[in-house]
Amino acid sequence: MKSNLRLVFAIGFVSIMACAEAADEPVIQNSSFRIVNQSQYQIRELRLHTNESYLDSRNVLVEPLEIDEEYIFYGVGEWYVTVFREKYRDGPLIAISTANPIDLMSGQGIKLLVFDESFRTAEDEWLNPGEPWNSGSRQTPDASGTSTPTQDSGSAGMDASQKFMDAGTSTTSIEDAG
Amino acid sequence: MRAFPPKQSFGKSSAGSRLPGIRVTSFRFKTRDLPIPKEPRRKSEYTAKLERRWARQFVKAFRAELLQESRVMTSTLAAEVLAMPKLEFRIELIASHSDHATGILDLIYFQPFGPSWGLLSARVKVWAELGGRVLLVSDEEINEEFSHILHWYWRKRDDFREKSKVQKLYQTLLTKSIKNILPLVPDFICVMQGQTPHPRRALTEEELFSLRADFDAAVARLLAVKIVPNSEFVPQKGMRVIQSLPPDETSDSLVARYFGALGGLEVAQREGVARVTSRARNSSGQVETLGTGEARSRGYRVAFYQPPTKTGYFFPPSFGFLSQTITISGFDEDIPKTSVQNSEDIPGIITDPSTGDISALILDPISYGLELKSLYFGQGLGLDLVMGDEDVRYFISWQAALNLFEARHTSVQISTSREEGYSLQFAKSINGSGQFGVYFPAWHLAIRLLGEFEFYRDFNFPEPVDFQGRARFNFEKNVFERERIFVDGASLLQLNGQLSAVYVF
Repeated sequence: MKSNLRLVFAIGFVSIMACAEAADEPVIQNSSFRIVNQSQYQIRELRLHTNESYLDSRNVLVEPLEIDEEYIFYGVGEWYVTVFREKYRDGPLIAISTANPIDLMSGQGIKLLVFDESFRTAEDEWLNPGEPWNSGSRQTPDASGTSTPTQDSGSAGMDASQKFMDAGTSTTSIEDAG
Repeated sequence: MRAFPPKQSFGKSSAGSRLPGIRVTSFRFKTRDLPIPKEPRRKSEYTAKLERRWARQFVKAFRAELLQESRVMTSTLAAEVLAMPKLEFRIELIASHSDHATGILDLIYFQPFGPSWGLLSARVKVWAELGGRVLLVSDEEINEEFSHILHWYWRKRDDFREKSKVQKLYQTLLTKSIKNILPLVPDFICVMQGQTPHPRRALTEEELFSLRADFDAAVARLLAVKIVPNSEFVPQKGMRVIQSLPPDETSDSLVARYFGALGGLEVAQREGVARVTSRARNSSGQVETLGTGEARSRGYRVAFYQPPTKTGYFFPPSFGFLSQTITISGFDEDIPKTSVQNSEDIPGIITDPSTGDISALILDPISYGLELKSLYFGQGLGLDLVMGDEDVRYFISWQAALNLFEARHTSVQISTSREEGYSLQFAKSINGSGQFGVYFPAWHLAIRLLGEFEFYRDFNFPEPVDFQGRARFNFEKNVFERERIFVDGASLLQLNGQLSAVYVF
């Protein structure tokens, strides 16, 4: 009876340990998402959001994105992109959103060209956050190496508890706003 | 006894006609009306022919008049005059005419269907030669209006009608001159008989004494004659191009002049449209219309107005103030989609960031509110053409003016801010108008249709404003896009029209 109890505890311990290891296992490599301003306007705000409305999302730009400048984002899942720009010089701001979400697949490099009233996606090389592309014409996550767009509550395809680790040293974490 | 001074130089005696008793020793013909050939030899032949003809006509007319007068004179005196070979005259015919046509109407009517009008002027001066002395004995002038409603018809019917008209005037003037001269004839005869032997017979002592007694008195009377140029104006009658006021309308009454100065009371319905246009050169070097705006107006106006009373040019100053509030807008255009290999185009959904919805602010083309003001001064040129008769008159007028100096103020509403600027401009705007009307003098009623335009070039904005050009393919980006083009200013065109009734005082 006593030896049976020991066996049960031993099995239980092993099971708990195994479960603990399994919880650490799903480490997913982020997609590098390069957003290039090819419009004729300065982009005042850039919002990345997982549902259609951009109202609850935050601007990820530290400063306006000039023409031909880029912004790099790391993440996975389906993302909408919204840019704010002036309708005309000194005019009101307008928001231009992608009509459909862009699917960021793990380990993939994607380039998004922002035109005046439309967007274009294309495959891109995977950009390592530690590589020297981190130059003046690009904006990257803040100094801590993390860009933290607020994820919409109930965002599809993104588990708030998940932590995505890219293969490099820079980490982009997605926090659940909810 | 007083003697005449030696014969003065009177120019070349180019032609003469000698008939018994009367002779034209010198004839000068100055005219711009007759189709005188330009080639010198032909010209001299032509003018000599004309001069001979007119000299002959003068002599014939003089003789006819003299014979007519001889019924009044004693038959002896007339016979004496006709027998004298020494009654000599010098004649100068001076003729000119102004001829006008409506350039614009001629173009509209397919020239030369338009009306033409003018003034014929003819003057005849006659000098008498008496014993080497030249005396001006007549100076007559006639100014006669002429006009043709259909210039082409007139030309076709009777080419160079001025010629025949001038010739009629000459005839009239010669007759009038002769009538002026006739009262002087007895004195001429006294002088001549005192100076020359009679060609037909030797005078008796008594006759000679009598003649010499009268000689001094005759010379004194002739020298005392002061010929004042006599000018006559002959207005045209009937259906015509009206060039002068009918005599019955030139009232000198103070009240009539006061109300006449006001013209008449006009009630008009007006409609207008103002249009602004911004053009600029795109990166391809083509000039594009980027923004337009239109504002309409409609209303009534009561004012004093006098219909034009006669045909003629006028030179009005152009002075005024313009104030126009108008919105200038770009245009909508769908941007074609592009398909690029190994990429996917995603349409953009444009919304209002404050609401997340699509709003008019977002959908409407780019637009700016403009306030354009101009204080201008310039000079204009106009023409009134009045045709008709005493019962009904049609008038057509047009005028154009160049605004030489302008002080401009431009205000541009860009979203919620307003930019303002001032500038001085030189010769950057014009205005003009045209009208057609009919006036019934007996009813004191006129009706007119008026059209006006004003064009202001380059109303500069305080700072360039942003517009979008036509969609074009950008080969660098592989996408269709509407180029951003910054525009410095806009032109403004204002058109107004009115239909009005006028009660003429």
